Amino acid sequence: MVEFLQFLVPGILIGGVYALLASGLGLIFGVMRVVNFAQADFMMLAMYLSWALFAGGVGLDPFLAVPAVFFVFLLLGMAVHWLFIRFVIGRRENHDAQVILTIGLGLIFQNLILIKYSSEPRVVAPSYANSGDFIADIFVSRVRLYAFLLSVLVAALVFLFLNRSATGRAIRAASENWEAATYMGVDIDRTNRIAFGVGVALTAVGGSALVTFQSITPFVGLRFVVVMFAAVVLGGLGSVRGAFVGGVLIGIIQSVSQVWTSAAVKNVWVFALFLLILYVRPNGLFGKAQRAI
Amino acid sequence: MLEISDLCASYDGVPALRSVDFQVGARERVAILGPNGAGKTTLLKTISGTVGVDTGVIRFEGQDLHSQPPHKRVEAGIVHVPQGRMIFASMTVADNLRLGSHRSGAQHRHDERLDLVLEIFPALAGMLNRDGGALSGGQQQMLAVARGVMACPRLLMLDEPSMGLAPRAADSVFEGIARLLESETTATIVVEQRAHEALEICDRACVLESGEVVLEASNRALLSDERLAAAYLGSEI
Amino acid sequence: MRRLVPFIVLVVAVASLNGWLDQRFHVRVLTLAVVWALAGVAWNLMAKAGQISLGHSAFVGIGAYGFTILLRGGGTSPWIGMAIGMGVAAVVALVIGLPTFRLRGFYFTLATISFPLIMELLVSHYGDPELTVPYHPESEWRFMEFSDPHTYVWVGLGMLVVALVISELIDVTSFGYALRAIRDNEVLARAVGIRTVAWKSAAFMISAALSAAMAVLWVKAVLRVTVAEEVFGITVVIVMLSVAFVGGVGQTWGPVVGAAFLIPLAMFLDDSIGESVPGAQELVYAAALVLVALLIPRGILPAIERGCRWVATRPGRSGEPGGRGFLGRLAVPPQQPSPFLRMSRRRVRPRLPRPSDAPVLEVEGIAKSFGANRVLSDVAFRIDAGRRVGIIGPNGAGKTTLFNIITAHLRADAGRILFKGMKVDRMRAPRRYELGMSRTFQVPQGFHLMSPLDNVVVAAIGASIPHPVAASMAMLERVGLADSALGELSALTTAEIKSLELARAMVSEPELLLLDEPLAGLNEAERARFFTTVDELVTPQTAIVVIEHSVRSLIQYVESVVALDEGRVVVQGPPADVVSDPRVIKAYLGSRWMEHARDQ
Repeated sequence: MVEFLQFLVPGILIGGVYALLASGLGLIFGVMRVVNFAQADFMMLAMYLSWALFAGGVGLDPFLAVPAVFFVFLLLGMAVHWLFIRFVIGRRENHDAQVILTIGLGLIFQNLILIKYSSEPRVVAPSYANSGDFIADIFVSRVRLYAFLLSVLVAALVFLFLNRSATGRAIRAASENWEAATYMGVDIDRTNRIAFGVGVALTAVGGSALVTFQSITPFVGLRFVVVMFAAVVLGGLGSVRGAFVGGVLIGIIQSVSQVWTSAAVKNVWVFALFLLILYVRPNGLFGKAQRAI
Repeated sequence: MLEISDLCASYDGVPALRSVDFQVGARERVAILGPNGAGKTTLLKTISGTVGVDTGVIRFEGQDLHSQPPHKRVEAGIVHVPQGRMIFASMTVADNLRLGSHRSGAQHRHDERLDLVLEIFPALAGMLNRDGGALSGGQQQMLAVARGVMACPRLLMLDEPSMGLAPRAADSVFEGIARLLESETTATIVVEQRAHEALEICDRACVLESGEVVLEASNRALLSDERLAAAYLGSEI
Repeated sequence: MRRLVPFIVLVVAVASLNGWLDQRFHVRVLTLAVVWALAGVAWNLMAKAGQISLGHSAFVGIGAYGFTILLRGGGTSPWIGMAIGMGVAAVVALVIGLPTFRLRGFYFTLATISFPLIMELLVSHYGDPELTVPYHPESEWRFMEFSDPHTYVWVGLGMLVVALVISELIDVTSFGYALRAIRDNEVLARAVGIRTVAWKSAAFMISAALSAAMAVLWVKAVLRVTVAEEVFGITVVIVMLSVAFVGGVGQTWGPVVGAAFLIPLAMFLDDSIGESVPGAQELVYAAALVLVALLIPRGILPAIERGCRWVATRPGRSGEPGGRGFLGRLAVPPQQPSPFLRMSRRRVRPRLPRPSDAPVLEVEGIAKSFGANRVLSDVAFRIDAGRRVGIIGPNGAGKTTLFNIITAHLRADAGRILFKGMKVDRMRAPRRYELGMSRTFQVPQGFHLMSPLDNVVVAAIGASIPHPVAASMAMLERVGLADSALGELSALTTAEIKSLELARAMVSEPELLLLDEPLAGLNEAERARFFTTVDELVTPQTAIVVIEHSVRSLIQYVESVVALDEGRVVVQGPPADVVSDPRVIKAYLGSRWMEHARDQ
């Protein structure tokens, strides 16, 4: 039992971070029906930013750097939407263009970073990186606990933003029924831009929560692609709430699978689940894909 | 206030309006009647800007709306309550109403408008915290109208407020609309199948058939005009 | 003949380059260009159906590992290893594809993206992350162990030509028609008898097999070591995507053009600045993808085609159409349906006869809800052979939903449907169409990337009509569209689109014709003409059901009317009785109107 819990607890902790990563992707799909294949590379960029702030002389703790990361990526996301994404939104024929555009953008990010920083893995190791505490016989890594708490906090703030602010309400309205939102006087292009920025920023914060226990390379995003997409499909394409729950579930599955199989193949279980969900409940575990946020 | 001249428009590539001329004066209430597929909804959508215009001009308070995107038209005060209600099902009634006051001219008057709306549709008062999707059809329609009223419209357009409702529910929606038009002086366009209800609350009506205006008259005159029934059912009653 | 020209150009170009180049690096670039053109052609087969796969490196990896393991284990010839790998890849493709082929939208793309990542993990963990390919100099051809690097180019060219021939064959047979129809409008494709899941699966399997074949050549000619990270890597997919999208997505020759353009560019850039700029190659592909997405989403070939057509159709200085010049000849002439379709085919499944005592259609107790919203409840009606029934009712009465349930575009919650006395509830849309059920749509539907003639040909193929092209052309003549048969769909007027829909619905010689608001958008004269055309096309045995808002036109045509309101049948009977029935007037004009009318 203790052994099982020893896998379950870290699973929940990492699941919280996955939830944050996936909710950004879910928000973007929910609002503008674009699958952003560059999402994991935004995460990678955020990890490099955290690393640069930590190792590049400033010595800023990655958890304290989160507000900066959030705002940098909010602006970056809005800029990418304004420069590229808005041209491929809408019509059905644009699906292909959305796919190759976002893949191309992700690839550009990867290789620009490769050129600048080489493929050498980078680590961010604050003084408390290896410490942890025993809580009722279960070892809890301090950085993972912080990462989890941070993710929950950021998710809560975004929930407040979406539920309480006028812009957040407009985003929710647009994602549920853009035509009706238009009749309310909502500027769809603007809500799309903000939603893209917030979605990118959410994933970016997830990335900076990871840096204390995940080494960084230009291609680190690929390792999280399966996780993010599986979480989003698990929770129902386009639902932020669903993506969040999906992320936690996937963290648990990944971690608990290590009771039976090697940690190296933990993502195989995630993928198997992913295919199973597509087979039996394509609208996600919770059924309705329509419920957007 | 609203002047439309020689308007032609298509819906999903199919011509839906053929050279329509249509005006609404300040404080005027106009009913647009006609059978399904006559182009009534397309006409409203060209005014609110979600359907493009092929040829012709739409002016609102003297300004050509041609280059105005839909949200700018809402800012100008043109508020469209769409067919099929289109309420935000996963949001609460209160949030739906709050979105109604999204228009910048309406934000600071939210509380005042909320009181008005709850007076008109008292049925909504007890449901502010319920999800829109949990409401009955009639309540959803009241919410849709109420949401439009929240925006302090200068021109309110109601598209088929009784569609898909049981007779009693439709009656209570119409009672609410009648109360609204008594207390407000907003210019209003009502698109409606139920001719009698629409004519009772309007000053004037025009009948569309196959995208053309076939009849235009005051409400009194139309109420006893057999040509209206003929437009719907192709027969005498 | 026209289809042969690109083959000749390709062979001559590659052959002369192969003879002329002798620097090792240059031959390598040529080899890679051929290899990636082959990969792109394979990938593009799936794109013909509008499906974007991000998982093709799974098949490349299967091909590479398959032949390496067999060669190392038992000295099996790579050719046999290639064949086995192709088979395995095809089976795996079916497993990945099937769950998603019923779903529309992004699901297929999402399902494919993670598959190679997982394969790589499994192979690296339980197998070997890297396998050297044993050296077998004893037989050059048997072990694909050529001492002259030029020979790999010849082999590659041979494989590329085979792949292109397969791709062309798909294009000109009913297979290609089905794939293009799916890409263009999947709902409509199912409504005209195209079995979308079967066709997509077949395309995906062939595509996977060709990718596995390409892998063997790639490893033998270039890599020489099978590395999991490389053969299963995302870069494989990126290059496939890039060459296909740059050249022309879904187009047989697109990847060849794309590879000829991109691969040398990437290689030479890598050769010159690769040392200092490690990601230069990938940046070329990335930039190509972004630029294509924003500027020419369908790729170079379609863009050139459009450009030529524009030049060719532009009026010359003298006012008459130009197009005699070189560019005019380059512009693709109106697409003729392929000669392969002219061959006689027998009906795959003979249509079941109707028992003489059974009505054509019998609908009983149909109910349907969308969420909490009840759209239909307990709807029942029947129609006998040769009869015409109209369905009327105010907006939201459930008329189109009823049609969608009859043609299996929606599933009813309760009730049953008997077609020709046979229970069809469990049959899907393509099967019901084959049995003799045709429909038109409220919003006119069409395959917009095809000519009007091809629009009808697809429906003829779906119904397994013996001479699809001749039958379709004859049908277009009867509705008066013979002159615009080879033009563009977008050039048709609304009335012509409606005629085209009618031709498409009638080419299968249906026993039940369902018309959904056929008169919407037509003017008086066209309305008057429409039902005459219908009568000219149908046989005396055809049963016709019409939904129409213009009650006036409808009641002159049909023999009985079913009036729906709030999802229930209110009245049915002769038209005159139904439209004067108080319940119908109430449904249309409201109860108050009735009171008012009674008072007068």
